[in-house]
Amino acid sequence: MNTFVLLQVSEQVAIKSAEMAAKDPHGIIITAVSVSVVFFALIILYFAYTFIGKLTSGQIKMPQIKLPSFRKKSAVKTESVHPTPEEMAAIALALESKRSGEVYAAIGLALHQHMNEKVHDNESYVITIKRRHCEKLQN
Amino acid sequence: MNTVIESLQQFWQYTGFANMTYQHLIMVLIGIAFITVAIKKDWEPLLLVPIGFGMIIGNIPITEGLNVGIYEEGSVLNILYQGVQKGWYPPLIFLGIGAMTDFSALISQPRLMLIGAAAQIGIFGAYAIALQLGFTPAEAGAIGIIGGADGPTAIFLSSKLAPHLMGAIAVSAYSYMALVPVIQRPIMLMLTTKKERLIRMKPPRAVSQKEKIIFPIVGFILTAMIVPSGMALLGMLFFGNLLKESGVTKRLAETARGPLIDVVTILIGVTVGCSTQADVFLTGSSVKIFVLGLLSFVIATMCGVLFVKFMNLFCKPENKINPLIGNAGVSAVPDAARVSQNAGREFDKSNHLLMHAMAPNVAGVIGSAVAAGILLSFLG
Repeated sequence: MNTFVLLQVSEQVAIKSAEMAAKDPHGIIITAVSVSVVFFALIILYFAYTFIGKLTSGQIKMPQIKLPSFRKKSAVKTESVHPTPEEMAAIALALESKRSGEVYAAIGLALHQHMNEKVHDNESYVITIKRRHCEKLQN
Repeated sequence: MNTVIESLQQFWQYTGFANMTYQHLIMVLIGIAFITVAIKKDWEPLLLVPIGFGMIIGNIPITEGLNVGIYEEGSVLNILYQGVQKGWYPPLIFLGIGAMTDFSALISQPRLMLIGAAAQIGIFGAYAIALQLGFTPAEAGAIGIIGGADGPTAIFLSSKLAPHLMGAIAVSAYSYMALVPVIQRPIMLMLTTKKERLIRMKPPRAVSQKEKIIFPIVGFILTAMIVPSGMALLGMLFFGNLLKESGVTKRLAETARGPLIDVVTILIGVTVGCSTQADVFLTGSSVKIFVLGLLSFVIATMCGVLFVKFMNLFCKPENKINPLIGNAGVSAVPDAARVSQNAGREFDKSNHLLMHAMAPNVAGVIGSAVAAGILLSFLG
């Protein structure tokens, strides 16, 4: 690639430039429009910052909007989440026994039943059990 | 023996000495002059030293095919030059500028923002004059932006609109930025009365952290919505400022205003200097660009000062603005503001204008990016 190619103006620029040369040969229109836009942009900023300044310094007070009071939702009471006697037996067996394949099977069964069917976190909007974690255990 | 002599003769043909022309020599001397001025006078040394040395690098005569020249595809210099050509470097410099600029002065006195807008008239004044001198609208737009006194913006716009003039435009912009005190002071004094120069302005109010954080977000949304074509420059400027003001991204802000801007300044300076190869740079157009650049600076300074005088017509006596800060509407930060401070203290030792002048000065940065965006949307 030679110097000439690297320094060429893109085709789009050349077309737009030619159009502008035909429409506005003295640059009066582009000057007037551009100066107006620069002023417009900075005047908008002027108003925005004047407003923000007054707002933060307390010269303007935001109207107090009364929001409807939301009662703190109490935890939903549900039926007992205690494990069944079978589950408890399985967990107890798991805890008391030596660690063998049976132990892991017992723990797995207990947790499977415990988590899949019986246990729900009924605290509103509070998630304490990660789904992915459950899936891992299920697998 | 003949083979040795032939080999030496062949080698000689490759050397810079054999290919040296007087144009190359002139450019090398200009490069040395830039370095000398930067070191002796301390004028914009961070820019003039890399540009000056780049000029020397770019004007070592080379034979084609060595693949070392800046315009030879795939050469190291050419790869580094892509950042200028494609407009990558200027937004990164704006990121650093945003991360090092304190906009408090502007936030506390938003009315001074309008001075930054008035000074941009210099850009469009030079644009109209350039058209009369025979430049195409795209070239005129790229030349006019010199009046914004913003090197990265000038490079960004000229890389899009007139890449063949970029070297002259960049060198012109940085040269005049270095000469801000020399150019602006006489104009400021010419357009103001002694009484006006003694005006004392109210101290700016304290600005809360919340306002400083809101500033870049609101500023970017509003300006980018109005001029989306200036989004790259404006986005990086305001983003850099948010990094600084958020208070939780100190490391990022320090990198942006420290190592990152330093690296990009080195690359932009050297490559822009290199791009001023004698055959591209030493043309009649370059002389015209230098004259237009100066005119653009003069018009911008005059418009800034005169606009303050105009604003004062509507201000209460206690709210008058010292017109000596009008020159700071150009975006040469903080040099233009320093000129206001020094000029103010010449007439009243205890009148410190620096804080006030910083407001139009940083507004000028925003204004010149907006102006570049407008020109790009019309011509790009």
